[in-house]
Amino acid sequence: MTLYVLRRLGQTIAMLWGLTIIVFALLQLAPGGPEEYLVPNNLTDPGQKQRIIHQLGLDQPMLTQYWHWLTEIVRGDFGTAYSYGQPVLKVIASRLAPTLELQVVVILLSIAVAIPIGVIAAVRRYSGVDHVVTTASLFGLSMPNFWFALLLILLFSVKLQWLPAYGNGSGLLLGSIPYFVLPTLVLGLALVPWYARFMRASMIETLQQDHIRTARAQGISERRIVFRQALKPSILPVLTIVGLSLPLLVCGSVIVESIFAWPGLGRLAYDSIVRQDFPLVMGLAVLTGGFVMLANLVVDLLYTVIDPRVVYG
Amino acid sequence: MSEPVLAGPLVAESPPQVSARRRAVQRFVGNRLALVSAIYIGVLAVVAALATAIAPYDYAAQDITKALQPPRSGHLLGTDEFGRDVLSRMIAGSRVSLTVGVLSVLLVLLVGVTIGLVAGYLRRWDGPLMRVVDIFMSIPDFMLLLLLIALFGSGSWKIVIFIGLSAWMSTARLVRGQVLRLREMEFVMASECLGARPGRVMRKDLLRNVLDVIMVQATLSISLVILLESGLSYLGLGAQPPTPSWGNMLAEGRDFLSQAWWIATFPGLAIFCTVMAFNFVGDGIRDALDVRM
Repeated sequence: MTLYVLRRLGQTIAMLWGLTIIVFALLQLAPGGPEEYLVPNNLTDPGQKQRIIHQLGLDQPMLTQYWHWLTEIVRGDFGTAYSYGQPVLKVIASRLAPTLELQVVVILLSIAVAIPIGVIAAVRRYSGVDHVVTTASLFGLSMPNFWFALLLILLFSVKLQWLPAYGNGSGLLLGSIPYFVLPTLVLGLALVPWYARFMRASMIETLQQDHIRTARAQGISERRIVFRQALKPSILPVLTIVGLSLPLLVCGSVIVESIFAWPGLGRLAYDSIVRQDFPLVMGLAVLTGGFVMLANLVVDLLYTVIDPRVVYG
Repeated sequence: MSEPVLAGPLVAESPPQVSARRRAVQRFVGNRLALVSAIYIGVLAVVAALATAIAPYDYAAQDITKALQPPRSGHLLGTDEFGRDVLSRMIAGSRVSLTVGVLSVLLVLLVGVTIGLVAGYLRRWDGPLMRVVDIFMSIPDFMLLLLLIALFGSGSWKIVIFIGLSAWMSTARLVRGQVLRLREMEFVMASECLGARPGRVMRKDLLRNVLDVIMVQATLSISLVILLESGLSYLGLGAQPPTPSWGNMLAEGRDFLSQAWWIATFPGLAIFCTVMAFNFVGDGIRDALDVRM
């Protein structure tokens, strides 16, 4: 177990390193080279530009540059987000909480909704309920989230005036709940069908296994079989899917956070592109990628805790 | 005497020789949702191909005197804030969505299938290639797209390449998984024993047997790519005005939602229907070919 954890940790670090190589290579390949992107373009004094190029080490050979950049990253210094005039890390840290709050709410609610749906569809396989669930989930997966968001805003914010259309109601505590409703609905619309499909498939597979047949042969009621024996092993694969959906939520929230003016990472990513703030864009790519890698590591390790049968060599 | 009596009906009732392909097509046609969706996509493709020839107006022609007119006989889907015909713009927009969708997926297939085949068949490459897949998979799709757009700029053609570069991973994984199973089968071993080189085995034996899976994956991927493209266009990072795309039309209509619902609603509906159609067709092909993904 310790060996597995160590190996998995080593893999994650190697992948993080690979990620920095990809981002760095892309920057080198971009037209104009790094100085086009990393030096603020609103400088009028050419001397100042030269000074910044020297300061950032952009006049050094490529490998030296990469090494410099890498060591800075390891030290937690992603450079300065010049459209904010603050260190990249500080800007990103200030936007982390709203995104995480929203994501945690969305993921937990989606799981809570998807698991019963998946179980019902699996238990009543090929019934009317199952067909409705399957078709409805295709509806959800096909809905462009930005359009769904606009329709919700039109109905609940403009026409009915029940819910706020933008912001996250920061500092309002309980009062901020209405702000979560619409973004959660929009993000959940894509997640619930996804989770429910996996839950259904996983449940169907579990229900075909020998220990379930044995339980049936013993005359245990179907309800008890589903809830006591089949539910737990079926939820495990869904956990992996939840891990896989973490990047989806960070990316999905670029659109959703932009629409609802949610002050999180997604909106920051969008703003950083519009403002052409490249240190920020690169920092976000490395950090969100790293975040997802770590999250996957945690999910993998959780797996061994929840299911003792899973042993990694 | 009984012999010829028995032989007659037996011969007549022996099942007609139908190829697996043909049976798959029959199953697909029997799936009403998939069939209707396929017809919808066909019609849409024709519309997109003819575009300017069948559009009632020039999609860029402005007529301020006719701005924000609701749908009626002259302008079936109404006009936008510049008096441009929404239907004509949607027809022009279908071109962007379909071309970007199909071309991106072709690129996705080219990259994903090649990497999947190599990783699945050549053990030496499996580890390194799959780590690269893992790295790319950990960058949120959208973040990678945004990074590429930030560094290399935007526009429909670039979007095709960017999406191709940021969405090939699941295809690679899928193909690799299939190849891992196939490479242990006798026909592959037979090929190897006959002295076929790895390149030939991959092209002739393995690729041919993963085509079904690839077809399903490709159809389902188109729907994802259309969503991605329209999302980017909605944010103003995809197809650039004045080129109309369903995504940027929706964005333009956003500000007129309460006074002119039709500007944003019809493009939204078009994206929704098209994505769903590709999903239904993909599911239909999967069921018809009985593919396990």
